Parts: sequence; C-alpha cells; structure tokens
Amino acid sequence: MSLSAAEAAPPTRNYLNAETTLRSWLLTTDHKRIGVMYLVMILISLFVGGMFALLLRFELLTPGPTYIDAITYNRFFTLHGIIMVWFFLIPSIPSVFGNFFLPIMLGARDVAFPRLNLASVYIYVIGAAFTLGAMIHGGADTGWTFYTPYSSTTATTVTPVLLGIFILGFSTILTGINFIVTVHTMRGPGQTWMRLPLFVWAIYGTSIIQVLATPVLGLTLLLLFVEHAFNFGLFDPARGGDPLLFQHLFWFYSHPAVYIMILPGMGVISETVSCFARKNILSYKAVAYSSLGIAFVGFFTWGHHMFVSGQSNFDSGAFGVLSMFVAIFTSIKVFTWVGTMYGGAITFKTPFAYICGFLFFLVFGGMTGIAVATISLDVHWHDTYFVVAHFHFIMVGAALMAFLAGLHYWFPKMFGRSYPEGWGLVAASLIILGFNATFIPQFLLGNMGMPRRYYNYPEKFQTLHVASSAGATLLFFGFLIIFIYLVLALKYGQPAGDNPWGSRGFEWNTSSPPLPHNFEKAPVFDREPHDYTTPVLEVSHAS
Amino acid sequence: MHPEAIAESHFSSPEVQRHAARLGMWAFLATEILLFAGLFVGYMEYRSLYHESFVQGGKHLDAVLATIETAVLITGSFAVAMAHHYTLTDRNGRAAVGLLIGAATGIAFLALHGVEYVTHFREGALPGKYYTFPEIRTAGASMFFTVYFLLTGLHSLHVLAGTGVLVGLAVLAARGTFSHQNYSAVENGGLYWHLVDLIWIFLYPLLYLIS
Amino acid sequence: MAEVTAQGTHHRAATRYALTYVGLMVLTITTFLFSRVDLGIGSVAIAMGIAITKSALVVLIFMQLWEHRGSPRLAFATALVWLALLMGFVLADVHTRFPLTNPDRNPIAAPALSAPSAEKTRAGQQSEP
Repeated sequence: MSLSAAEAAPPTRNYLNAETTLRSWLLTTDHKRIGVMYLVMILISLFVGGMFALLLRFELLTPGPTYIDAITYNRFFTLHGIIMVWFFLIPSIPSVFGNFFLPIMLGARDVAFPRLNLASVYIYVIGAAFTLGAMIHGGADTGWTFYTPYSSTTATTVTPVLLGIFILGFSTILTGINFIVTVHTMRGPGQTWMRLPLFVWAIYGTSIIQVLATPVLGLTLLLLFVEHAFNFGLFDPARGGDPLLFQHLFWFYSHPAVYIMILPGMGVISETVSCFARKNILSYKAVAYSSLGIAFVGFFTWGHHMFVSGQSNFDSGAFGVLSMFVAIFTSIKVFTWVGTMYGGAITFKTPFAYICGFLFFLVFGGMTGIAVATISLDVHWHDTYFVVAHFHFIMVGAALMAFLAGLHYWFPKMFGRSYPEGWGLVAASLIILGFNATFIPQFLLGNMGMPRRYYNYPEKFQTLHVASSAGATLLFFGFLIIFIYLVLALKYGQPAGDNPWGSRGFEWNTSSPPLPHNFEKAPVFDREPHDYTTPVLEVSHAS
Repeated sequence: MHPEAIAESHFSSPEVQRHAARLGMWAFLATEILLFAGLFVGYMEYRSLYHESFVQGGKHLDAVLATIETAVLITGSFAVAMAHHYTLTDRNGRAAVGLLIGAATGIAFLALHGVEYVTHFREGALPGKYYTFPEIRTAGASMFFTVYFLLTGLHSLHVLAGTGVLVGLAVLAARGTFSHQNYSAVENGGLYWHLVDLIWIFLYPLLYLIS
Repeated sequence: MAEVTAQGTHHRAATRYALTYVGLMVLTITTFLFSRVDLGIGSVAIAMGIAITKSALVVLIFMQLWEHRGSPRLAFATALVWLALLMGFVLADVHTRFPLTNPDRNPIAAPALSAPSAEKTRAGQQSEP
C-alpha cells in the first residue's frame, strides 16, 4: 500500500511563517512554536552533555591521568549527569512532542494554559543560565546525586547548580499541570478516554509523575542549599543528622524521574510501531493501562538505589520485591509492540530502525534493571560500571532512540519537509553500532569490578575502556550526521505533504506544517486511534 | 479588565474553563503538599530518634502564641471563603474587604511568628552549629530547632506569597472585576490560601502541642 | 457549580461558612486545652484527630471539595496517599535499621567528631511508640 498522499507543497500560511518577528516568537503562546523552541534548547543541552561525555571517555583511554586531574573529572561527570537528566532527557519528548502534538491529537487549539506554557520556557532558560554560570565557575564535583554530607561540605560551586535545577523543576511542574488539565478538559467531541492516542496516555502518565515527584526534589535541593550555606546539620551525622534521609528524599523523586524519561518514549513507540507495521496495536487497553501502571508503581521502588547505603533489611526487601512489579508493565508493552509487528507489513524507514534499536536496548536494559534490583546481586554491582551500563541502555539506548524515532517520524509534520531517508538509515546504523560498542564493554567492566566515577583504573581494564571510548566517538559521528541533514532538510528537503507515512494518527489530519490554530474547523472523533483497517484520513484544506 | 468575561477561544465553554482553572490549581496544591511532605517526614524521623529533645523543645515553644496564630489564620480563611462567596453574588466591594482581611491575617500571623523567632534568636535556640541554648542539652537538641525553623520558615514563605496573592485579588475586586461569571481567580487564589492554613493546622499540634 | 441565584442559597452558603468557622475555633481551643493535660500516647492521638477534623472542615467546606466531584478530589487524595507512602517507607527504615547506624550524636556534649562512645545510652534515645 503506497505511503504517499498527494505531495502538496507546504501551505502558504502555517504556524512557522504566519508571523516572523522576533517578538512573535519570544512572546508566543502557540504550543507548536513553544515545542520548536524547546527542541532547540534541548538539542543544545544534548550537545553540551554529550561533549562532557566525550571528555570523560577521552580521559578514560589510559589507566592513569590522561589530560585532566581528578577534581576536573568529577566535575565533568557531575555536569554530564545533571545536563543529560534534567536539561535533556526529562524535557525532551514531553516538552517538544508533547507540546507540539498533544493539543492536535485532542482536537484542541492549544493547551489549557498557554501563558503558563510560555512561562515554562523562560523558567527553563533561567535554570539553564544558573547551571551555565556554575559550569563557568568550575561546577560541582558531587555527582548528579548530590549525596550528603559531601555535597553539603564540598567547596565546589554546588549552590548555583542546585538553584538551577530547582528553578528548572518549576518548568517541569507547569508542563505537567498543563498537560493533565488539557487531557481532562479539552478533548474534542467524541473523544472518550478510550479513544485517546497512546502517545497521549504516555504523556498523561508522565505528567502525573512530574506533578507528584518534582516537588519532593524541589524540597530536597532547597534543604541541601540551606545545608550547604548554613550547615544546620539536617543531613550531617556530625550534627546528629541522617544522610539516609537525604537519599530517601532524593530517590523518591529520582526513581520516578527515570519513568518520566522512558514513558514518553514508549508513547512514541506505540504511535510509530503500528504505523510502520501497518497494523492495529495488539491491545490498546494493555498499553494504555500499563502507562498508568508505570506512572504509579514507579513510585514504590526508590529504595533499590539504597541497598548498600545502610537502609534497613525490611525496607530493602520490600523495595526489592516492588521493583519486580514495575517491570511487569514494561513487559506488557514490549509483548504488545512485538505482537503488533508480527503479521504486519513492515516499512523499514528510519523511524523503524530506531524502533528496532529501542526494543533491543529496552529489553536488555530492563532485564539488567531486574538484575540490579535483586539485592544479593546488587551488593556486587552497586556503584560499578554494570549499573552505569544498565541505565545508559535505558536512557540512551531506549529513551534517546525513541526521541530520534519521534523526531524523524514527526519532522515532516512539524516542518513540512522530508529528511533524506538514506542518510537517516546510515546515521541510525552508526548510532546503534556506536551505542553497542560504548556500553556493552561497560557491563563487562562493571562485572569485573570497575567502579563508577573513578578517574583511574587498573591496566587490565584498559582494552574495554578503549573500546567504550571508540564507541562513544562513533555515537558522536552518528549524531553529527543527523544534525547536519536535519538542518539542511529544513531548507532543502522535499515538501513532505500532509501524510507521507500514511499514518492513522490524528495529528496527521492537519497540514504539514500545521496552521497557526491547528484546524480549519474542530475535528470530530468518530474513529478509534491507530486504526489501520480504515482508510487514510483526508486533510481538508481551505480553498 | 475582564479576563474571563469571554471564554478563551480554545475552551469549549466558560464552565469548562472554570473547571480547568480549578483542576489546575488543585494539581498545583498537590505539588505544595508534596513539597512539605519531605519536611514532615524529617520531623517524624528526628522525633523518633531524639524523642527527649523534641519533647523538651516543644515544651519550650510558646503554645499560647501559636494558638493565637492558628486562630488568626482560620479567621483569614473564613474571610477569604466569604470573599469568594460575595463574588458569586456580584458584590465586589464586600469581596475586596474579605480579601483584605485575609491579607491582614497573613501579616498578623507573620508578625506574631516573628516575635517567636526573635525570642529564639535571643536565647540561642537556633539550628545546627548556631545552637547555644543552655536549657536543653540532650542529644539532638539542635535538631528540634533545625526542623522547627525549616518547617515554619517554609510555611511563612508561603504565607507571604499567599498574602501577596490576596492583596492582588483585593485590588482587582476593588476595581469591580469579578462577577458570577468571572470569579475563578478569587476561587483559586482562595484555594491557595486555604492550603496555607491547612499546613499550619498540622504544624501547630506537631510542633507546639504534643509534648 | 456554585452559581447563586436564590436568596436562600446565598444565606445557606454564608451560614455554612460561618458555622465552619465557629467549629474550627472551638476545635482549636479544644486541642490547646487537651495539650495542657498529659495523656501519654492519648495526647498524640487526640491532637492528630482534632487536626484531621479541622483539615477535613477546611478542605470540604472552605475549599468546596464537597461540591466539586471528580478530578479535584482525585488530585487531593493522590497527594495524601503519596505523602503516606513517603512517610511510611522512611519511618519503617528508621525503625527497622541496625540500631547503631542511626545518628545519635549530641554535638553539645561531644563536639569533636569521634567514634560513638559506648556510654551514650541508646535506650534513652530510641523512640517510644
């Protein structure tokens, strides 16, 4: 079945060119422009965080000092973690694709609170400015986890970093509130909860996590700031404080935070897998409810980060068992996606390449997650490269690939142009290959006892470290290629038409790029989402 | 200025818009509850670890003053609830008065609380390394006051913010902004104020009474 | 929806708020008076019980959660459950840890940081339920 609808030129008036002054961008309340602004900001963050990763991997090429000293190394991995977690991964899919497509998928003209949406952009900028300032002054050396009492007593510039993340938290909370209210109150006529696209379910679940978890982080960072400034002793054993209280509060947020990072990616996969397999999702309810399952049960597991910190056996046992439960929901999704592909008609385009990468890395990453959630095994693996490899499999292998899948899938819709498919597959191959080369050696290193965050290591680990650094370089080239062809495609890409993939997603029922107010007239929802047994949606254009 | 007189074009009706604003505020209140959650947990942990110090510290606080503070905040909540009620019947004048009374109770609360703080400063009952209070010397004595200052300090910041919100709303009411079709701002600002009262309803017995 | 059209509804709402106000003040004075009497664990139960009652009045009547069904109630209830979740696990940890890992320093008595001395009485500093 042919993919292309009529190859129309981008409409003369769309959200990008309706107004072109700087002011119309800086003061926009259009969710699509806000999505594009977020795209630029998080790609910059990805670049900076990635640069820090490369700097780390260069240092790790030799067992001893290579070109930086230990404190600098500590600062680099701290900033790498902070930027990648808070400035890239957490906002990536929700703030870019959630902002752009949530209202369109609901048949709405915008989100519930457009001005709050704009405010969240500026809050992000202010938070980034604080963190940038901290970087220029040397940055913190505590690791992104800020464990006390080191973080409350270290002389490095912890304070501006804490403030930067604290401020950024508000951006996350506002986005979460906005999306929750939008889904509750702005669904179009005929769109019941069970007719929501699966991407919306994923974003909704993510928004719930953001709203419930981020305030606890806010408090924790605030308390740490006060500790660092005044040394009240809240977390300092020398003054009667409990360092584990900090860890409980920190991980109560930070474990659900990893679900903020992966759940939207799962939403993207749900959208794209049925499109590129040309088949209805195997079980809509399974995927929809498991999104909520991950959102809620993800909160019950945080203590698995504290197995060897001094947490009680009772808590450790409870958290270990509960951690197994949250994996059930991911498994349900993986089986559903694979079952959707089975018996479908696969169109192997770039988004599908990333889907394949996503599935492989999610399963490996998830299984190693179960492994480290087993207390007895974690005693061996905690704070080694095994854990580092596990979470990079999920955050880079799964989440980042899902982001790239979404970026390629929705690029034609957002910008009206197609990217070059050949280069897309080349870059995807480089990234998948580079990723494997970077992180599989790290599982082996960790199992052999290589500790994380260590600047030096014994000679016997060097081969694997060199392999990992080589992989990181491949990854870099893969991203560079993507960046180049996407920027070029913005100007020189083929006009994409309204629905180049022939997708049944509701967002394809607009022009590419969409009109400033999304629709000529509000759509009515009379079909199920992702329904490939019905014909392609016809986009109505103004005559 | 009538921000709600005509529904924003992207909502299907004014009633839906009001519901959205209300849900948005409740979601925000949920984040405020979780913001304080960590401090309440810290209080409970250190109370169980340093029971003696917490009992003595609590006894040392001025429960009478705190009771007056509680009464003041509750009065403010009542005034704000009535202000919302008056906007529903198009009586902006009375609504403004109610909101101003609410703001006044916020300022009164902060003043009374300031008196407490000054007393503690004078006698050296301060957090962490600044603790020099001679009367309580058991383990974790400074921890009681650390938790006390952090909890009441964060709460007072919210009282200050709430007071600002009420003053802003009072100014708008004085200009005749609100009506039975346009009252969400007062309703939602009032919700924030009630939450601040709610948090104090728990801080009051936990810090001052259970000794 | 609290649209007011009839005079009767107007009076009912105002009366409701006034009665709630009086109830809250009475409960405040009550809890203060009870705190002057030492009832051991009963003191804690009464103080918390009164606090919960007062907050129920504020939430249901002043914040109108009694009238607004659906998602606002869900948001509030979820926040409370999550608060309990955090509290439960952290307190369970503190109470079931290997006791010597709990902080117990008295910075006033022993300002220099050294190994916890044996004569510090753990019993006097452990929690009483």
